[in-house]
Amino acid sequence: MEEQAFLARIRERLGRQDGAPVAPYRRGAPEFWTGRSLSSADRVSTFVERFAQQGGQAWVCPDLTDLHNRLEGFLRDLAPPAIGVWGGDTLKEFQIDGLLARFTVLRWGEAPAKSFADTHVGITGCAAAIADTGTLMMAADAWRGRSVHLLPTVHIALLHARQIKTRLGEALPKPGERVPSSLHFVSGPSRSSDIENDLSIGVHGPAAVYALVLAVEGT
Amino acid sequence: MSQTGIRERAKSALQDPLLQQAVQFTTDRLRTRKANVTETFGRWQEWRDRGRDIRAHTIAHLDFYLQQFADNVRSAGGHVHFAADAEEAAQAIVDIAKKRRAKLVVKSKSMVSEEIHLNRHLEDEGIQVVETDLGEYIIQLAGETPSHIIIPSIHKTREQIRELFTKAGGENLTTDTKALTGFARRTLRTLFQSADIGVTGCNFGIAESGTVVLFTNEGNADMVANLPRTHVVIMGMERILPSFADLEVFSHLLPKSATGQNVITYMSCFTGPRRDGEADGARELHVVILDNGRSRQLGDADFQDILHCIRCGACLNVCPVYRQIGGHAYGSVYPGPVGAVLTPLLNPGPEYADLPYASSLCGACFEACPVQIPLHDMLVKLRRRHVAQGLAKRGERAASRGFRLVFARAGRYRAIIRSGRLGQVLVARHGGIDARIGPLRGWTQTRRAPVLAKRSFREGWPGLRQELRQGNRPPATGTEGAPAHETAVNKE
Amino acid sequence: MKVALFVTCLVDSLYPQVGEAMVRLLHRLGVDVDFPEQQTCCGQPAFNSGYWDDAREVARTLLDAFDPYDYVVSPSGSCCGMIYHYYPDLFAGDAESRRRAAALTEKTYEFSQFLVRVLEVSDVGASFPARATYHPSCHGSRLLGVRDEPLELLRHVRGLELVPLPYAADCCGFGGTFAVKMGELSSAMVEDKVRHVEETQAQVLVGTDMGCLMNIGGRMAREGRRVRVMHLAQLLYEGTQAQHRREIVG
Repeated sequence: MEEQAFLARIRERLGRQDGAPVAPYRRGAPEFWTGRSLSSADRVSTFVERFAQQGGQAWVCPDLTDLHNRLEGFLRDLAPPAIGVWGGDTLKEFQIDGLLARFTVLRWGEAPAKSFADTHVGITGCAAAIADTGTLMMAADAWRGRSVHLLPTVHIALLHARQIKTRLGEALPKPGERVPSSLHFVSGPSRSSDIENDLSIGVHGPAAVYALVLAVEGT
Repeated sequence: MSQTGIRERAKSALQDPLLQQAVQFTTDRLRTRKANVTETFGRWQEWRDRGRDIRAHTIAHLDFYLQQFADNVRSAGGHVHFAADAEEAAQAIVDIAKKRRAKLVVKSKSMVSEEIHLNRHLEDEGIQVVETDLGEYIIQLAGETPSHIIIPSIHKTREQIRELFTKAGGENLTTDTKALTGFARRTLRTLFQSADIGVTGCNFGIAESGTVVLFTNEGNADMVANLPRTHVVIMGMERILPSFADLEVFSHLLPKSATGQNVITYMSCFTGPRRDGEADGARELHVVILDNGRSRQLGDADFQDILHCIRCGACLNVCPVYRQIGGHAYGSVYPGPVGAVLTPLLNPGPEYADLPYASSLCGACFEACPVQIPLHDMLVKLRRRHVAQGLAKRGERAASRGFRLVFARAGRYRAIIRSGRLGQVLVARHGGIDARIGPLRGWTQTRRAPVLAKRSFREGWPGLRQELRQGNRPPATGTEGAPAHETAVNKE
Repeated sequence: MKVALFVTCLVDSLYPQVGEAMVRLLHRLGVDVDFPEQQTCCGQPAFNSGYWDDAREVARTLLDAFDPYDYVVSPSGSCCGMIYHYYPDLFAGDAESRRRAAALTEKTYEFSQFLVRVLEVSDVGASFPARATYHPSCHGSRLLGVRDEPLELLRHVRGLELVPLPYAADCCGFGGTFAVKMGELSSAMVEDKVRHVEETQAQVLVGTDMGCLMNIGGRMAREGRRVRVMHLAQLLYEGTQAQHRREIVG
């Protein structure tokens, strides 16, 4: 159907004039919700707690050394044949190139996108995290491919404590802001209860999601 | 397309104890989880109020927001198609598929795609369609349709699933959940990568940015949307929210109402196709916006609110009728209370005119609805509409006329009660009616029916009034209340 | 204060003892009710089946009957819910009737509502030593908003052990004409309800709507169950009589 005819039908049914203005309304979350905010310490602890409730695991790393030790520990245990990593300088602050050196690493933007189907671990940063719900916000661009965190069995996200917001509304794009082609909010591993209500993890997306929260500012 | 009436379909569903057990177990689980999560979250009524306000505002200005949404989808590089009905929508998608010479289409769960019978249309063109939501995959293999909006395979046991998966090529599968999901993961992974087109639904379209938002738990919708070259979104025209700020409200209302989850595992927001320099995501994005009877509800004070629905399925989970018969008995794409309202509204005429009668009007659906759609009122108003359109049975019309004749005048009513008492002598035994034939057999098959009292309240009133006027307060003895002492309804 | 009893057609013709218990209890509490005889039925059977014209003519008997009163009190949450929730719609076409319907809506109370909210009585001085469970009627609780009042009254009954009913808020399957029209479905629902009542091991099932109680009681009678089914007014009134006897004797 022709667009204007489609819209005209709606307008007519609603009894609205062409170009009639929109009445004001109570937009967004209730004020008691938007008005609250957690302290930075509470944001971190709440995120870690809620992320775990969602089936993920998050650790607070006091410094880069600790973060490296943990990451190295995961990789040692997982022994992944191939690791997918965000490309460019996106993870520079976390200085992980050294510890990745002994693995087969596919970098987004360099290795062919299709090859990421065979990665077992994906290492990414995130655009923001949400304490309330234990959520990672992933925003796509040339160096931050969607496949890096979507296709592997294990997704490891590295983030700074300062990236954790209290509630979702703080992370969502503001009016007029340029919105990335893909914003992906991830709260825990892939799950399904379609077989007799029995929860199963990792049905399509990653079966494990880890978050390493760097408590101090990176250099 | 239903050949039988809801009553017959309900009857056969009631004879399937396995189905009932599965439905009751699942709905119990979902509603308990919902009760818990909303209690922990707190101030649920205020969230519901806000949700209703936002939906009401959006629908009341739908022309504006839909235009804004379409413009923004296009400026982000997507294509928009407007479809007046199911046929047009399916044709638009078939055209895209043919143009892309598609051989394989992968889909994530979408009720609207069921509404337009998309799979059939694509298959008629020789295009293979694979459902990738685990539950949908199961019922597609079984050649069935979803029986629940959120958990489509609610009615399948793991043994049945194992058989279906074995037939689909699974070797040495056990009934273990892990084994079964593992088979689905492996099988569907290869299909995601070789598919030409991915079709998804749309939970919300954000007008201010032209963003398509999907809520999923499995992650299949992300595969469907990101991996094939072309992503086709099929959405009902009412699925709009003005802004991202409003999405925050529904990011709470939807998963909490649907499955009692505090948050959905994946909330995916697509704004146009992949951009320059990006190496994944669909290269081409099409959004098909469907009317199919929806615009007819606009401006109708009785039914416009049905367009506020966010398809969470909470009304199904609390519905005592759905609980007994499951989704298929409704004979339509949308089951449960929302289906009993939406289906006859979208498809006027005799075919689904009996659905609104599949309700005791208990109102549990309204109470559960995150945007407070008065479904129980709509059911009554649909019955009224069907009567006005002459879709009701003649016998019923006569019964109602009889009711009016008797009850509109107290004198007549009184006389009828008196003569009825004489009539029931023939059928009553031991203070009740057990005859399992006659006009009340729907009742008496399973329940004893009461008999008219020897003396109606109004007949006894003059005596009672006089007694109380004369008597002291409180009454001197307890014996005068004889009826009250032996009034057990089920007294034999 | 002029109080009228809206007895409802069901109580009038099938369960007059419920109306009587209510009148006697209110009398004890110092309220003498009147029974205007023009009243018949709230119109719900026709209304819910879609015959609004027929329902309207029947509903008018209530507008006429209760015009001169300050309060209308009724033993049915469902019939009050009909007035409260649907009369504005039913009489929408005619301003004068709509005004009268609105006035009726304002002054109509379900029995437990009237006791707790208007009379501000939650202890009627009753004693009823038994194990009981309470089924909230859907219309009473959801259309009319009567939720705590019956429980508050029951909690004050001496000797009464009140046990929660599992799935209490689930409909018993009555739904007026639904019970006949969709008999099998309705039966399946009431079977569940009876099972849940059984699980409580209650001796008494209490409710505030004879429609539901007729349905549940009818099923239990067919199954030969021994649970006593009572309207709240009956239980309270009977309880005051027992208490009264005890006071005289003791």
